[in-house]
Amino acid sequence: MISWDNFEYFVAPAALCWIAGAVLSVRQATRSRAALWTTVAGTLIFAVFIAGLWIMLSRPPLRTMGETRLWYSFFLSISGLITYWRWRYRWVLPFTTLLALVFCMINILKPEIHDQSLMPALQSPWFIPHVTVYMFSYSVLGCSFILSCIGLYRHKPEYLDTLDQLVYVGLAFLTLGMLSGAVWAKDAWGNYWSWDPKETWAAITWFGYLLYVHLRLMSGVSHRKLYWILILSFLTLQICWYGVNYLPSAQGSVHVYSQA
Amino acid sequence: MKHLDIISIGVSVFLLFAVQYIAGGFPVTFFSFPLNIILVLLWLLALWVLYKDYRHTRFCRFLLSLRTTVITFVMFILLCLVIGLVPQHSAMMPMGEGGTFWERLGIHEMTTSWPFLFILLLLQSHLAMITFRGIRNRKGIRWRFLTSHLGLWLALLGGFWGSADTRMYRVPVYKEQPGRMAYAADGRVHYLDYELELLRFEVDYYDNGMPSTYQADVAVDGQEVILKVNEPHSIRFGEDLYLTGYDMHAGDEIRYCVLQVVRQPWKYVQLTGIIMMLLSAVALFVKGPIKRGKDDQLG
Repeated sequence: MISWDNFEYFVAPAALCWIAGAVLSVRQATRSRAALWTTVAGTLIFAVFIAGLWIMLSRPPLRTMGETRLWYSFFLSISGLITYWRWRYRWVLPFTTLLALVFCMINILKPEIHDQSLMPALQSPWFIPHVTVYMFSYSVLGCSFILSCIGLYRHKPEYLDTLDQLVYVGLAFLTLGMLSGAVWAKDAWGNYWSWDPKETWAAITWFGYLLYVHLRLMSGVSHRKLYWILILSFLTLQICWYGVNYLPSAQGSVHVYSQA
Repeated sequence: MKHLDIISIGVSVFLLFAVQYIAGGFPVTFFSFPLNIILVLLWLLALWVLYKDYRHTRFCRFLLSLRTTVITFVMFILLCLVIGLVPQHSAMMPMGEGGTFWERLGIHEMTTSWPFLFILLLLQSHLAMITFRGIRNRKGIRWRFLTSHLGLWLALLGGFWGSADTRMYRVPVYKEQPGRMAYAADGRVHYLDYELELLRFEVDYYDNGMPSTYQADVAVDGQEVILKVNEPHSIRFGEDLYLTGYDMHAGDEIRYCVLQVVRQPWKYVQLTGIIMMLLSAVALFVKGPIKRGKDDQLG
């Protein structure tokens, strides 16, 4: 039976594959097929755990913070792989692997309450698309964050073209997540938008990325400014995702489920 | 002067904070139907005339420029940071008179404050103007531009102008006692023009005692409807009935449930905007970034 108790037994082989893929990709100047397949293997092992947990819980594992971290690690490995294969950045897999493993470690060291109950407000057809679309978007924007940090350290003009690609994909999924949330909120609470703290931080994040997209259409904007906007937007995204739970403004937020 | 646009917007926001300090929050409910519809039409007409006949004036160029997009976004983000960091009072329960310096600036009721509404109005005016231009001139991925910008404009417009027409009431509904009494958030009683009675209430529990699902069979003027969480019932155009709570301490014999009546006639405008934005998000993913150099003038 797959459960959180044997999470380590899945993370360990997945981590080995991911690390092997990262090392292989860095060592070779061209695209490495070996890196591709080892990373895919790691992701598949991880997928088996998610699928098993889903069956075991008899509900989608998307509710607690621990469960969303699981999806984040999963999508991060996929986004990293796409970025590596599509734009041939040798250094991207080490970073996405590191980030994915950090989130796995948090789940091992600080497991949340993993019960089987799903409160009635979360029982909706919107639940799965809303959360998975967001997690995928976060992972793509995570890649843009890594690339921006590197660009700030050593700028190359082609980084901005790659960032455009990543941000357009990330923003598209961010929009899908936000709007599926709005439609769901109308069904659940009666309003599309009510400036709940989580919604407010989602809006800040969304406008941050929109700001980048529009600044890219202007001429004469310094690359440092663009990198900083992506870095700051990714930080507001972290506040939106889990940081709001610790903000004084979020006491009484309708979006806090994990303390149930 | 190069930075006249930034200075004008900054000074306007500053002055509106002063208005907020002196006069308190914006009188949202004053702009209810039909005043909001009339104002929307006049506003659109004014923007259209401005676009058609005064395109080369400074003000029109300002409303069309990409710099305005950027400045408006930054201002909007800054004001949203206040909402995100400072606890907000419910929009239905304003603070009233008095308070500290910061409270009087409206930091606890930012979404109904003068500066915030001004930035939203500026953003909507800007969106309307670039949509006019986009319909006529834009080349390239024109339909993506139009669905995304028109969609956002409609979603904002529905929320902004429709908020004065939005009403929410809580209704306790009892078994064997048909009633019409509903309560607004400020405690005021409102009488519905239909009668509600609880017929049956069913709850299922998980092993740990948490409710897993519940549903209420309610008679609306004698006609039976089933209400569940996430499944509201539409009473009429713009008015829906939601199940929000029940008699949780009653054990097996539940005597009442709490419904919420939401009147939001502008929700269809918002939904249209949201659907357009969803389509444009798909297009954003499929078509990817704009090729540089071709569309630069038209962002």
